[in-house]
Amino acid sequence: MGRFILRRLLQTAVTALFVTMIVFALARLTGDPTVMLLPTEATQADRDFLKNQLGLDKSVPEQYFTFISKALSGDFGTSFRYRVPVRDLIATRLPATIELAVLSMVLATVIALPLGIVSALRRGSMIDRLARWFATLGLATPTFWLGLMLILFFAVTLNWLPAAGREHWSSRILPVIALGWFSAAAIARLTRSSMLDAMQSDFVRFERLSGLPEFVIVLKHALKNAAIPIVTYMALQFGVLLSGAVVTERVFAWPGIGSLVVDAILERDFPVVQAAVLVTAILFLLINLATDLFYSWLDPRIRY
Amino acid sequence: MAVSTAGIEDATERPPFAARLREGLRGLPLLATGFVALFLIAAIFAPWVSPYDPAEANFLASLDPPFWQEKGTLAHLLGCDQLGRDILARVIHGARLSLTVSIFAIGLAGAVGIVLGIAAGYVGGILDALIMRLVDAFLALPFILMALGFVAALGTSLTNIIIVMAITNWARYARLVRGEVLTVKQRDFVALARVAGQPRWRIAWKHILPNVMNSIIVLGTLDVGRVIILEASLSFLGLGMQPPEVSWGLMLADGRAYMTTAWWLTTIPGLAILLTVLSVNVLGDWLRDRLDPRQQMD
Amino acid sequence: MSLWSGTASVFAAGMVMAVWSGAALAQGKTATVAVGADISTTDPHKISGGNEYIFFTQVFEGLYGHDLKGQLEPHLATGYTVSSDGLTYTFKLRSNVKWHNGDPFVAEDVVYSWKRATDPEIKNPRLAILAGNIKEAKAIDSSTVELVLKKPDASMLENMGEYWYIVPSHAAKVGHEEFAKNPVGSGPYRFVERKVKDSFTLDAFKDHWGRKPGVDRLLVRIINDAQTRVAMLKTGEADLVVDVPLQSAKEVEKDPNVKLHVVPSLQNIFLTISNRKSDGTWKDVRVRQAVAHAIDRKTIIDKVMLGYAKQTTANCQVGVLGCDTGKPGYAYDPNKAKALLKEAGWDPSKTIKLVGIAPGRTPQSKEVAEAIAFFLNQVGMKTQVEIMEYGAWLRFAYAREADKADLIFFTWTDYNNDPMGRLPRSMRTDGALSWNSHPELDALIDAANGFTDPQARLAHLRKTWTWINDNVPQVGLWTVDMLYGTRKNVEWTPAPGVSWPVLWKLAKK
Repeated sequence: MGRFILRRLLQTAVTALFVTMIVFALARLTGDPTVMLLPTEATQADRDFLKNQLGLDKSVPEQYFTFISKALSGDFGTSFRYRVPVRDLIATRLPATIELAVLSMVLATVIALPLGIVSALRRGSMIDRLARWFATLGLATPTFWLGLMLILFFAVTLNWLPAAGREHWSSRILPVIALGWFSAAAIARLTRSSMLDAMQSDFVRFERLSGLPEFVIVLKHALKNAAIPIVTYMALQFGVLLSGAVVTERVFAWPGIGSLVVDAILERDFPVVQAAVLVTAILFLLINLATDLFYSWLDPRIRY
Repeated sequence: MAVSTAGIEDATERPPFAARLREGLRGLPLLATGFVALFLIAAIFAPWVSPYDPAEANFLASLDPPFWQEKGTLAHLLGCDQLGRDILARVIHGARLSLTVSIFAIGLAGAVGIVLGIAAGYVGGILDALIMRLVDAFLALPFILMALGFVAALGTSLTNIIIVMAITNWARYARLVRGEVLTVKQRDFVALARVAGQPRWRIAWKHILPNVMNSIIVLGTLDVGRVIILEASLSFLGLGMQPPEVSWGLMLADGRAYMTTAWWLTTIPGLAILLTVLSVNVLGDWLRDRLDPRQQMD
Repeated sequence: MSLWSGTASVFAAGMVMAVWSGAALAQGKTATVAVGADISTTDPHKISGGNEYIFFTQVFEGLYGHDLKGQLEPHLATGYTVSSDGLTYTFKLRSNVKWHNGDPFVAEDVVYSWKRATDPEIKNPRLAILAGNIKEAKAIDSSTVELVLKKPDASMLENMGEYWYIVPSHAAKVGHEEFAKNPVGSGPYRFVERKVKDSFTLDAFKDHWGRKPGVDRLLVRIINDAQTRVAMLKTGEADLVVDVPLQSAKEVEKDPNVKLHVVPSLQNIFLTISNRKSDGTWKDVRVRQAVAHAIDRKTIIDKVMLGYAKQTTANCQVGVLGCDTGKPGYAYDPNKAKALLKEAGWDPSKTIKLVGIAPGRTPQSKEVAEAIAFFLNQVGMKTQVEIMEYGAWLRFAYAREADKADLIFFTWTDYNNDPMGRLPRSMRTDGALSWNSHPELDALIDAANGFTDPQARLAHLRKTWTWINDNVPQVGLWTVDMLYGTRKNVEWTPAPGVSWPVLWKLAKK
């Protein structure tokens, strides 16, 4: 077990390193921030001065090492555009996105798990067919279009819910629905197919022969076996949610890290882009690591 | 009187082609396939099928509604946008663009993924570890942010969008292929081929690749929808296809401001996206059931 | 009554009073304003763009500024005299002005404001325009200050309201960074807090010398998405929305709970011509005039801008000094365009490149570029459109590589009526965003600031605009209107001739 943990930790560390390289290269490739930051009458000398101030005139490897060493101590530099520490920007925005992602995941699970289970148990029935249609439809709907439709209907036409922002507790309802819809569909599909597989496994067939009531078999055994791919998938879905959060945040003016990064990319604000994407990716890696470790602890057969 | 029995003997040895085809297509979702066929026809034959040039502006027809509404005409079945360009024409050409982007992006992603996946799985060792860590890194990054970053860096031409889609997608193919390779590697015929002295790349090409193709095809088909929606999201955020290209995502982004006044500008391309992705997904599911039942969601 | 219960009741009474007055304060009227872009700084000497002013106009003031009609009026000064050589200005300062922290306004503050604005540490992006031209600022007495300029500057007074804010001298004690974090000004609203990319809050400054703030608190929220802003207006989450998208204008007009305000802006839309292109495509003035005749501005304004734009003639709008040249401009005449092209020997197989801006920066920029290409194609000028995202476009525009494009869609917001804010940078040969090379125009532009007599200067500017109209170094299109939306219970009108919302008069019923 110890060796397994160590190996997974090492893998995660190397992956994280690759992530930093990709993010760093990507941010820098997007262009020259001095053009965006200075007014129209700035001269080349002004631009060179600003470049020096921002540390952009140093060699690329040097900039990368500065970035990494500072990041390890939690210093993500200063935003080019807003001149505030990037760490502060991220610290204020990250909780909003996490809240959105978590609530969406909860909503998706609460809807999708029972739906998937019932669908598998009552295979071929009306409810199964409806569930499958819901799932297929959900996977085909663009998140931003759904968000727009929701605002149009519930906020503007009916005036039941706020159209934007995060003040009121009810502000969460529409964005969470828009974001969670896709995940609900995906999880429902996976739950159904995992359950079907588990229910047809030899072990469960044997249980059935021994006369245990169906729902006991389902809850105790099939579900437990199906749980592994489902939970692993949910951890992966977190990444999808973070991506989907970007457009959702835009549509609902949700003050999260997704919209922060979109603006930063368009403004060529490298430190913000690097730090925000890095934080998101690391978060994702940690969640997956935790999931893997948790499962290998539960089921010692899973060590790879 | 010699009656030829040749035909009868053939018949008992192998079912005729028609029967095999019927068996292969069992359970084919007709509605979905029909729609996909429609999509393909529109996409491939766009210049001949489209009633107008999608860039042809006609200010007199600006914001004309679809023909079944008051003020709509049969000249523009699905209405016009604010510059007077025919919506039906733009949807048809948009199909062409969606198809182009999907095929090339998935093709490119698949090619890169196959090469790296086979290298990782077959060669193993440090190469495997490094490639898989790279795969993990790409999978950890939110794909839309990566796409945005690359587009901001490279520009919004068609080629660049294709490259960007490929960059954000290759990792899943690599991971899938590697998994398949590991399974196939164990099999006897591979070991036999090694013993027979066949070089590694030959084994990869002749034995491993065909076994992997099924999974790739399934993943690729299911990815078409993903790519279409990703392109639409990029356009929504302002970094997608630009004129003279016509894409559904671009139509959605353009028409969004008119949602309450000219609903057809967004609803029609939105429906096009929805129906296409839906049909392709249903078809992809059927394909998966037929070709590769083992494959779960990635 | 024991000591304890006595103390307890006093304490309780005190608490009740504190809560009561706190509640009373919080009960004051708050107006929520939704804008599309965040400000990038709260430091009055670090302003680099037009959208910062929604903050600064309410919090800071200059010696002179503009009234709600866009006309020059004295703010922190009450009058001035100028020496005959135009280099020494003596300003009489207003006496009943207080800073937001209660300190009185004195001449020392003006002197310090000059020092701060020119401090190399601050790196003032607007240095060259006003503050950098001041050789020396001297406090004659506590209510008189003398400015000695390096060169005569006829636009100085007009520019004071936007380019040189006066700050209190106590800012020196806290340092530049701290002052920016908690800026203290003299305007009708004072700074309370700012959440980057989210919102900023301003409270009414009741001791303002002249203007009475309309509400007790202004909450300005940054909402990037235009449709969301409109939705917020309709639901009542926003009292005032800046930049209502054109397409939503009709529905805002129809909604009984909200009101639409349309006001002409100083945002100019024009086509810059790549005059220095090495193959001489644009050397012939007839070719340039052909472009001006080929574009049907009226149709584009009606159909694409939905009527929310005002046609310009020589690339200047009504009200700009010298724009009243009396010239008719270029009517839509495709036949004339074709004839001019034929005369000039235009090669019909040639394709020209039009560079446009992606949506988001200025309304309908992409659609307009496409429409223009359509009209140019109609007269036989094959046009290929390339739309760039704003950051990429800006980079391209600055680079000014003449062979890389033929026509470039441009948007330029003037800050006031003085064309000298735009002409040197946009039209003079080596201007930062100029794709031109016309020695005659350069001479005209250079001479403009040498006039001290306003009438003579006006006449010269008229001459300059006439030249621009006749020779078409750029094709003027129109100015976009600014669209604001307010709830029915909000009393506010936009200030014409001002490119950003002036909020001090905003009141709620």
